[in-house]
Amino acid sequence: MIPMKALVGFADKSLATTDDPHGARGAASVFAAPSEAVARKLEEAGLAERLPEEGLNGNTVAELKAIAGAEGIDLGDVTKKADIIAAIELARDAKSA
Amino acid sequence: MNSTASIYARLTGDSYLIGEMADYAGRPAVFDDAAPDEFVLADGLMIIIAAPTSREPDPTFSEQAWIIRQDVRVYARHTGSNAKLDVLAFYILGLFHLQQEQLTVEGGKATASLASGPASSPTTDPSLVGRRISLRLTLQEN
Repeated sequence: MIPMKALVGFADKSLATTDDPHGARGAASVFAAPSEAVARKLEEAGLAERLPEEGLNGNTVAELKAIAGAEGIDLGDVTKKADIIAAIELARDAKSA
Repeated sequence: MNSTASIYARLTGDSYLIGEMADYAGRPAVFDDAAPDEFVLADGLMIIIAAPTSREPDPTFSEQAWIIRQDVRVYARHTGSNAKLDVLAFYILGLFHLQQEQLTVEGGKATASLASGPASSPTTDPSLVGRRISLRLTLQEN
């Protein structure tokens, strides 16, 4: 499992923009739904195998909470990984409906 | 662990919802799977707690838990406007979504309660209109 810090560090170097110098929003997008460019960089970094096949299941609980936070998803007191994933998927479905 | 009993208790424990519901035999019109044949919905709501559509084990090293998916269907007489039904359907959604602490579970507790919907819930009776709220409950055994 890749620590979230490693991914954030990866994003710092590759995803920074003028209005997001630390790549924080870019890091969030790595967790949520990687663009083609991000997916290519993940592949170069040897991290691509966890995406997209594993989907959210490939993330740690801390990463999942970060994803939920970045997407404005309320997780309440839900703590188990399977429940957090279900909450994120449910919220995404609701947004796309 | 009887998830239907937990859902029933949550629905019938809410005074606002009770006030909007029809009665049957002196109790709120909340039924398992189907309404009794002799029941006729006039005013108010009728709620059907469907049987679980899935029940998956979700054990940890020390605890047994179950992920249960189950629908709550709410019906009202078709009056030309479904606005009130929709409001109440969203209200029911709010009674469950992330409200695991509010669920009473015999022999355990709810560690997660996620709700989605409401969606249309078609019925064979054209005089009724329905909505479906889908629940995903994680129930942990004591």
